[in-house]
Amino acid sequence: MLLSNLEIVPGRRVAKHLGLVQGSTVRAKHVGKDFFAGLKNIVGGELKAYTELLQESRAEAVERMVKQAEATGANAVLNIRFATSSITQGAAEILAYGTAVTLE
Amino acid sequence: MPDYSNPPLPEDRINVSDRRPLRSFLALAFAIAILCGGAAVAIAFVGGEFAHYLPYATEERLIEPYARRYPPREHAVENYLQGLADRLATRMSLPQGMTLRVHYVDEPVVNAYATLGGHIAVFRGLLVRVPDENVLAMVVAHEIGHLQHRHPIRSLGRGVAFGAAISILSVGAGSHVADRVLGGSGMLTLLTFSRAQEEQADVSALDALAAAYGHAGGATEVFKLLQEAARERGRNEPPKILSTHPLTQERMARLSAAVARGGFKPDGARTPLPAAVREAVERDSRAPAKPRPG
Amino acid sequence: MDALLSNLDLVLFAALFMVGYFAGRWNERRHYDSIRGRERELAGVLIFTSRFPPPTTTRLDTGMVSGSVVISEDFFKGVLAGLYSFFGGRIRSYESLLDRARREAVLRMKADARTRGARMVVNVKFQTFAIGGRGQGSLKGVEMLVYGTALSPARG
Repeated sequence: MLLSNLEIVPGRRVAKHLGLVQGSTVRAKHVGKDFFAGLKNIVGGELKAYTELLQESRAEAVERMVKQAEATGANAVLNIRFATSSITQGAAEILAYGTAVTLE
Repeated sequence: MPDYSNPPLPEDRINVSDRRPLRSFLALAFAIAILCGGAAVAIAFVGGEFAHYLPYATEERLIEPYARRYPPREHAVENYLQGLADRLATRMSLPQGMTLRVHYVDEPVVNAYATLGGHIAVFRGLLVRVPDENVLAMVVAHEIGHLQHRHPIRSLGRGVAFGAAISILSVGAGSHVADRVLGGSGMLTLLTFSRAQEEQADVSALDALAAAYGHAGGATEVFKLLQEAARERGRNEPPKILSTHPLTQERMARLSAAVARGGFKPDGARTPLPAAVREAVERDSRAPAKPRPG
Repeated sequence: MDALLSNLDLVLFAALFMVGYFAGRWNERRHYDSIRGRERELAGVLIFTSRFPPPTTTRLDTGMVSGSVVISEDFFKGVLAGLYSFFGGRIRSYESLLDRARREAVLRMKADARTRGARMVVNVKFQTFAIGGRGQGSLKGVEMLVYGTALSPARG
């Protein structure tokens, strides 16, 4: 499955546009890591636990979007965009969405 | 137009995964209960076990602000109790540096307790009801037994460790949980002893009593006394599991067995309480209720 | 009776929990039925995230359309989310909340497009916003905004 946030794929033609596909997750870090992140607020620096959390969430959101695209019979997803928001303290929602297409 | 369409997607099982929320809830709640319960018990155990490594001097310092409010005084009953305790203590091995101090509390409560720093309190209500010195000696020896094994600091250690565990957990789980549990346990003010600790104190007291008087008379009467007092007040014994005082019947039976095992004479000549003490106690119980000091 | 009064906050919690569970499930089922019905109805309006309209010789009218909705959690979902977040990983109880919000917002945007006579919406974008106290996991609701450009055959 080809993923791109371009409008077109250079050198290939789009045969069918199959519409919007989305993948979203809501994830949180467990209490232990949350507690240490709270302590990090005192000294500053990268919150590794949260970086990991968001990376995992994005990967999972994209994976779910790809699954939806497969269900429509597409072989590529173009014009991918992300929307992030913090749902509660320590939990983040990531939405990945794009247009599923069939490339020739 | 070239092929633009929105093929219908199957019912969304990709983005929504939890089909049985109630089942998930039960599983999660159960798992958390086990985890937190287990962790709290483990921490409390560790706290209790290591607390007695605290040097005795620390204990004294902890209780000092409270002890300062009740300095030793010239009082017939208190002097008598102190003398009795000192006599019994010579037959029990107290920790290094511990000085025993007995306080007479002029209140109608039928009880006695031991706390940090070698302090024991005996209430007037108990003194009114004891038939003779032997029974009183059992009570005092029992409290000295708690001090001998450093039960107060262990109980405090357990309580503090438990409280610390709850506060740490509350960061994640919510302060609501912390308030609920802390409120229920009541740490520093009321040092309760576990059943094992009570039984340990009983055994030490029995040895001291038999050594001091030559027989074990009066050992089991304490419980009858307490039971009667409780019944008069209309309170029933709490169910076995929830209580930190082993059921009185069981305790009496165990003590009788210990008497037999130790080969002590079950009874003998009883020493009466000195007349002056009896009079002083009677006088206090007839006096109108006094306001509490400090 | 005494035990009940002394543990009033626990009793209240249990009551809210049960109301949250039953009422929440019922609300959700009703909402999903409505969503499915309208999705079938509005299936004629196509949506894409492509930035350019399809190449065509007919003149097109363009206009921005949007749909938004705020959906709130119920008590049961909140408690369950708290339990999930204790262990970390996916907070599965909020997934249906977000799914409902997204689908509802998209339907509203499609309805908006249909009133203009459009048959296609391009450059669709989503925006999520979580409403509510940022205290210990107290989410009041989730706002979902979906917007795009509707293409309708030009009039006149």
